[in-house]
Formats: sequence, C-alpha cells, structure tokens
Amino acid sequence: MPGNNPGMLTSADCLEADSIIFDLEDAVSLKEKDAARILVREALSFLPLQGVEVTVRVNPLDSPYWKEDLESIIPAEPDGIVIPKASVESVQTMVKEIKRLEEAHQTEKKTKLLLIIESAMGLIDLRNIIESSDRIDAILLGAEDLSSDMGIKRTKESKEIEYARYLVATAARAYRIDALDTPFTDIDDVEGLEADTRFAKSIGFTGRLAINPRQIVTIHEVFSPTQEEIEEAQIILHEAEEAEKKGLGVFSYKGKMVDLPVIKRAEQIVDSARKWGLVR
Amino acid sequence: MRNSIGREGLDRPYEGPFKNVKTHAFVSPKKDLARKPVFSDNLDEVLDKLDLHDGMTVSFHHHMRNGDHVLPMVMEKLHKRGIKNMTVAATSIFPCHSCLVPMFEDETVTKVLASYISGPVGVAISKGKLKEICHMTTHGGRPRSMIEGEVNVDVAFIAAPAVDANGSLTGSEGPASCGVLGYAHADAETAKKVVAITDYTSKTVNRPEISGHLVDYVVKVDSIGDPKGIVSGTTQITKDPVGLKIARDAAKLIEHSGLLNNGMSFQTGAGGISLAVANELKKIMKEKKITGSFASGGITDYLVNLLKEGYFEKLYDVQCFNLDAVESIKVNENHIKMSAHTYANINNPDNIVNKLDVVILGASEIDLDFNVNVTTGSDGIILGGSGGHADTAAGAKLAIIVSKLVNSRISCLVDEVTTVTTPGETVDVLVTERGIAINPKHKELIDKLKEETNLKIMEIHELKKIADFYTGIPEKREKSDQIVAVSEYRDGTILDAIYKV
Repeated sequence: MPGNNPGMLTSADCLEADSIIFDLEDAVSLKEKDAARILVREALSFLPLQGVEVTVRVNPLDSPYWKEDLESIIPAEPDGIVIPKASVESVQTMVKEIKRLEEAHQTEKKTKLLLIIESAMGLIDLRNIIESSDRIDAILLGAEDLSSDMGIKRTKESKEIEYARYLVATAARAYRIDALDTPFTDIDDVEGLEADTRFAKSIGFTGRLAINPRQIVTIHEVFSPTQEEIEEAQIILHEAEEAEKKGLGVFSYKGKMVDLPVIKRAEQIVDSARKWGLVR
Repeated sequence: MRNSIGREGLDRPYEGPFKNVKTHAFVSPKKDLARKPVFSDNLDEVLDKLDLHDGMTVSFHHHMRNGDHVLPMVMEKLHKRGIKNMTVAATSIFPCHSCLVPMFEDETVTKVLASYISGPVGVAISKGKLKEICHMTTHGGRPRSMIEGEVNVDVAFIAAPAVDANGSLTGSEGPASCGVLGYAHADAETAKKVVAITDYTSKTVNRPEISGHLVDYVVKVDSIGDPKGIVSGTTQITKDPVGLKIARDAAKLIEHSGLLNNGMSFQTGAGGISLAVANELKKIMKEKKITGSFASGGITDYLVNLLKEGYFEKLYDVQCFNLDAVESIKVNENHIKMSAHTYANINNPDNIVNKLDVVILGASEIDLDFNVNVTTGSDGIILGGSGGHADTAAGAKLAIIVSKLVNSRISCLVDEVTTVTTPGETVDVLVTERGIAINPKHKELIDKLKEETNLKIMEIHELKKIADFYTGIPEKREKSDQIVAVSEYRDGTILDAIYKV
C-alpha cells in the first residue's frame, strides 16, 4: 500500500493479509518520497500492527532514494525489506547498509529480505541472487516490469510469464523459502483471480501479492486447505498418534504408507486451517 | 425527570422497550366503503373547500424522498394563505424540503414531527429556529401516535403516483412511481381530510394500496416528484476493504448465532456495509442450502435479486430505495407492500419487526451501554433519525450494528452518545474492523462464538480502549440548555432531548 496514505497504513492490520508491504517505490510519486518515508517510519513506530508481518518496499539500487529509505526505516524495525529489481549487487549492497544501520541503532530484529524478481537477468541469475544473503525469506515475481524488460506484451492469459513462474516457484522451493506470485491486475475479476491463483498454487507458489485489499480473501481461499484436506490431515495425525503409542514408525492409511513427510504435511495443513479459523 | 437510561429533562420518560405495549388491533374508521373522492385538477379550489385554520396539523409522506414536489407545493400555498402555527407531520424530511426553513421564521410552521430529517431543515431546527419542540419519531411510532389519537392530522396530503377511477391510490404506477406508499396508510386512515395529489389517473391501476373510500379529494397536478430523487444515497455494496471485512465478520457471526436456518427472516439497511452483509450471508446460505422466509424494510435492488434467486420467499416492502425495487413491486407477487403500521407499530401484535430474526443496522455513534445515535452528528446537529432503527432493534432477535470503529479519525464508540435513538438494551452486537462487542446479557452467544469461531469477541470497554488509542479522547462538547427536539421511542415515551447548537 502507498506509504504516503495515512488512512491505509492505519488499517493495514485489519485487512487479514499475512504480510503487508508499505511502499516507498512505484506507488509514491517523486515529490512524495520524503513524506512517505516519514509516514511509514512513524506508522511502524506508533501503530500496534498486530497479527501481520509488516515489510517496506524501498526504492531500487539505481535510484537516488534507497539509502535514505533504509536510514529512515531500519531504526523503526520492520519485519522485512522488499528489494525491487533484485540482483546480486542490489542484495549485497543493501544488506551491508541494513547491517550497518541495525548495529548503529542496536535494533532487536534481524531484518528479513523479500526480493522482487522482475528482470530477465534477475530470472536467469536467480540461484546466485538467493545465495547472496542468508536473510532472504521470499522471492516475489514482478511480471509487469519483467514483461517490459523482455519487450513483450502482458496478457490476462499469462502464457508469456509461465516460464518465469515455474522458475521462481521451483527456485524458492529448492531453497525452502516462500514464492509469491505476481499480482492479478484486474481487481474486479474475482473469478479470474481465483483461477489464476489456483494455477499459481498448483505449480508451487506459496502465496500471492494482492494489488488491492479486496483480493486478499480470494487468495486466502485458494491457498487455504480445503475441508477434505483438513479432515484427511486430522485423521492422519490421529492415526500417527495411535501408531506412536504402539511404537510403530510407519503405518498405512487408505492403502498408502504414511511416513514422516506425510505427517509433517498434515501438520502444516492443520496449522494453516487453525490460523484461518477453519478448525479450532 | 430522568428516564430509565439516565437521560434528564424529559416529560413521559422512557421506561424500557416493552413497558408500554398496549396490544390492540387497528380498526379502520367506519367510513362508507362505497364512498368516492371528488376529483379536481385545481389544488387551490380544493384548498378552498377545506377547513384550513391556524394551528392545524398537516401531514406528508416521504416516498418520493429527495425528489418530492408535493410538500413544497402544498406548503407554499398554505404559506401564501397566511395560515400560522401549523404542525407539519411528515414521515421524513429531505433537503428538497428546505422551503420550510423561512416558514419557521415567520411562524407559518411552529412544530415538526418526523422520523428522519436531513438537510437545511435539520440544521434550522438544531439552531433553534422552530418555535416548538420537534418530535423525532420512529417509523412504527408515527402510525401508533396517529391511531391512538396522540397526533390528530387535520389534512393529510398524500403524493400518489397513480389513482384509479374509485380514487384508490398506488405507488407502483405512473411517471413518478415510487413503488409503495407504506408510510401514508396511517394518514389516510386517521386524518380528518385526505387529499391525494397525483400526476396520473387511470381507470384501473397496478396493485392499489390505499382504498378510495378513505380519500376526500384527488387533485391532478403536472408533477408530484422526480423519481430519480427516490434513489437513496447509499444503495451500493461498499468497496472499502475495511467495510467488507466488517461485513464478512457480521455474516460469520450470524452463521454461528443459531438463527441461520431455513425460514430465517432478515432486514438490512441500505448502507454500503449493511448491503455487503447481505452479500456475504447469501454466500453462506448458498453453501448451506438455506432459504429464508422473508426480508423486510426499505427495499433495494440487492434484496430484489435475493428474492428472484430464491434466497428469500417474500419481501415485505414499506418503501422502495431504488428504481429496480419499484419495477419489482409492480410485477412480483412475492414482493409485498406493507404499511408502517404492519411493519413496526409496537401495539400491533402482528407487526413484521417482531417476526425478524436478524437486523443489520448502522450507527453514527454507539456508547458503552450499546445506546445508538443515528439522529444527530457528533456536533449535535440533526442529520437523520430513527426511521425503523429503534423498531427493528427491539423487534428482531438479533440486532447487529455494523460500523467502522474509526472513520476519518473519529471513533464511533463513545462514552455516551450525543442522542439516544435506539436504547442499548435492544442492541445485541457491535461489529467493527477491530473487534466485536456483544451485549453482556447474551452470555450464551458470547460463549458459543468464542467456542466455534475465531472472531475477535471482546468487551465493549476493551474495544473503546482500542478506538481511543487511534483517535485520542475528544473534548466534551458543551450542551446548551434549550431543548429543540426530542427523540421519541416507538411507544411514545421520550428517550432523549436534542439541544440547540
């Protein structure tokens, strides 16, 4: 959400998002950069913002603003910094500055990084980028800027970004970090959002950027476990408990062997369901 | 005198929501059923025949809402005739009725009775321009007061979109079709003289609702109003994500209240969040295959669609809020016209509000005792009124207030509301974006919701603390000691005084 909009910042923790990005970059015009920086810093310091991860998107390395952004924001201890146009260089340079500021201000939090992959070079260098810092928590696909970098037309069908999507989802999985899909830009097309998000989930994305808060519910519905999945996970956990009492390491459910990875997956499903109030 | 909710300076103090119920069925006056009105196309000639006198009470309805031409047309003529000290008993007053303001100053009009007042008239009354105390009634309280003879109307001027050859009136035909004339029935039944003012007559009309034998004169004029003006300001589902969250939580609360079963009855206002609750409830009803018995009140296109799609079996409509509702009531026999007496008169044992399971209402202020104000702004100026707020809150099993806790740096949750419109003992739940407060008398519901849902249930004091954190505590406004209006409960007792600003 735009960092220079006080009303939006105040209601950030009412929107049921897992994570919020206060933006200092593209949503803020050049003449509002200072105002946004100050407002976001104050919001982070003053507002309780409970039950939601709060991150700040700073301006990119090739802009004159990123340093002042970090100087202003890091002392207010956001959960994470979102780096646009991520590259090995931008991650390393910004991490260095972040560490300096954390030490100078003796902050308690170790700031996480969320990287937006939005250039052709960013895509093919993905592995090096992810390995460039141990603070990276998620990679986010930015398909609008990517299409522009590629010189291709962005369409609703999104065939043109399929390769990028598979790549981002797979790389994130390989490094056990989150992969967040590019926003669905037609905010009034709820069915389109749902179908497109189902696809994202099916290829391994663990979440999605919402360009409007009204999209959050649909995205959650897709990523939340279904009632069937929850029930099955609950049965598996129950059976696992019984098996453990009997001293069995593995057991069978519906004719299939249940071992530790399956039990872990069931635990994840029940945890997620609990978080969304689908089970108590 | 202090009333049962601690408000002072009042005659006939409020004692409790059901302390003054005098169950009686309404008996229509024994007028000759074959009686027919006199038809005329000259309003002045008809006025000449009436016993117009100083101190008389004239009544109007507000079905044309902000497009009404009839009240200004009639009042200007009475003003020119030099009649003084009149009481205007209008069901509601809108900005289009600003002609009344100069009539307060020269004492043409010295008293106003209405269930809702917005615009310049509300400002003028708040500033003490009206000689006598204005009575802000409820939609159900108004017909009660007329039927019981507390308010005696000398002449009822009824804007009638169409009139048939027998003088029967309907709202659902004609160029200024407004759907239904629910608020005008008591006027037609009880006024000494009844003048219907129309711009359309025909041998027969669509679904006549006020019988011609009750009408004395039918006057045809060029135009009784602009139907575009009947479109209420807020008849769209909110797009505000915070409002939508409130709506989702309210719908979830209803789902777990034990009331969401086949045959459920439901009412919602036309506000953006209230309509969003209906939308969320529809999703749950679809999933659970639940069909409601009826939805009621002021009807919007949204409720019309719920009827068409089979989510409710019937609509009981006292006023149409937009033109789709007007179209529907012409043709759909399950979209039923009702009078305000049928809708909400506390002394009518068969009133619709008593059959309601759930009502969704708004609030401009709500206090720690759950008292709600929709009558005055926090600056003390009259900007609304109960309408059916207090009636439905008392009647429904579950009265839910939906409101943003903090809106434009102002908190809806205050220590004490500026004006009590609806007593807190009839309000069950407040749903906001930062938490839900439930009237402590509903301990079982509180336990059930805590057990079954992850809704943020908290005490209203806790919620107030959260609101205060965001807004700070506003300075108390100084009250003057001149009473300009009173908030009258549905039984005729006085809930609160409204002071000059």
